[in-house]
Amino acid sequence: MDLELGSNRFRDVKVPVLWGNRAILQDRKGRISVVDLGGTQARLEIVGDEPAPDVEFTPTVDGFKILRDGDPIYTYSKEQQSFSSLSSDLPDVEISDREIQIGRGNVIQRSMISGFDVGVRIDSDGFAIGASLPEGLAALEL
Amino acid sequence: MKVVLNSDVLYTTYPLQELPRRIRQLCQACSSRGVPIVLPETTLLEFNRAQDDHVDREREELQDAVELLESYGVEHEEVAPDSLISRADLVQLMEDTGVDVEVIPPTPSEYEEAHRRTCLHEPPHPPDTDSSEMRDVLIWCVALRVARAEGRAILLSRDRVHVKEPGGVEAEDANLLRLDEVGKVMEALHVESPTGKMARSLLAPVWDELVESGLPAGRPFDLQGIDAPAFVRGDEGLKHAEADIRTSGPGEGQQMAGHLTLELHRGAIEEVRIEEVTVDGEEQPDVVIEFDEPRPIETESPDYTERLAALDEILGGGSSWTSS
Repeated sequence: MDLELGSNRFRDVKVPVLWGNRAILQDRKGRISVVDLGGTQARLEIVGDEPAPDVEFTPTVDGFKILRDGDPIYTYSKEQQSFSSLSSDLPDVEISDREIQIGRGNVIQRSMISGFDVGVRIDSDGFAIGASLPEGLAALEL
Repeated sequence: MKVVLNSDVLYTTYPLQELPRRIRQLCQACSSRGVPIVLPETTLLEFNRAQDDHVDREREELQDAVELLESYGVEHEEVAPDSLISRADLVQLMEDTGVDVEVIPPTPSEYEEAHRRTCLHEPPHPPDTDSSEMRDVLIWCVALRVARAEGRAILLSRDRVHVKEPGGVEAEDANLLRLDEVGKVMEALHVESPTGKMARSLLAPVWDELVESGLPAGRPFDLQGIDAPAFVRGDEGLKHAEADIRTSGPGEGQQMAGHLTLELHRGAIEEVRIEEVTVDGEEQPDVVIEFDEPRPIETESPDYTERLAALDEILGGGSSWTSS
């Protein structure tokens, strides 16, 4: 999967977790970045565990909340590396070194999801492992 | 005043050995104000059940690791997963912070009431769901009881059964304030939240000038409430902030309210606007200051260059990337 982000074009990108329309990535230091793929252009929202430049946010006791035009979209806990949606029915997701937890009780070992374009695809109806790219993500260049 | 907790704000995905930061800060905030925390028995039972699952899984993983070592003939000390990994005592962990904790079981009449409301989908049951979860309604009934007995209480919960509209009238009648974030509970207890701290760091340095420019507010800066906050960072630090704020007014017991907007550049305030100003509900003129010499402030500014480089590295995906 190819991805355009600002003036950069990235080829053959693997997305470990697609949470709704948001790609959740983890760098070699274990920090989380999030790219919103749902608009006409890919938009970086979180970079290295911090709100990205030009992104609205509000600090919380253990991380921050991402906003869009003043409306809360989701919260991110830096301590637990977990996400909670505030604008949709997406289940919570938590990223740890060994596993990904979706909602309550759904645990996927990270070793199971390597090598796919999208390792785990999560939406409000559930989740799929080793999923293909969903339609409608106009931000991607295929 | 007491703070009642639903199980969803306590949930973790791992065996708890110490309180998560958000819960620790909640306990410390409550302790600082002498406000006890109430755990409905349902909440504690749900928490313990989830923790037992995590503990069982962790023990199994440790046992599997031991067996793997032994299969390769690796010598090791004796490992006893059952004694090494156990469920933490949540109440003790919370009380260690100095807060008083009460565990309250539902009464028989609350069981009956929750059963009836759940079956008939009565408030607080949301109308757009078929869920028949009685546990959430039980916690609701306990929270109402606490609020009525104390005169007021806070229910901290993210569950739609607790925070959505069907329960609004009943909650208001019982003086039960429903909040979905620890930061909001802190603000309700007049303990500085992370948002309040950030707002104070921005406004305190320029407050005297705002008041001298005609802002009808008291001195020193006394933030009494903040709603709808939004901050934006640029490459070189905070560049924009806005929120609805409430502070002390010019006279004893008065309150000023207004919409705050701050524009910053390179860590310094260039412009501050407080609009839609009221004092005890009466409209007042807006106040706008453009600083000829921007006022430096201290806020955190992450190293975006390093973070973006780390992101570039993982997006490279082993193939080439081009910059257009």
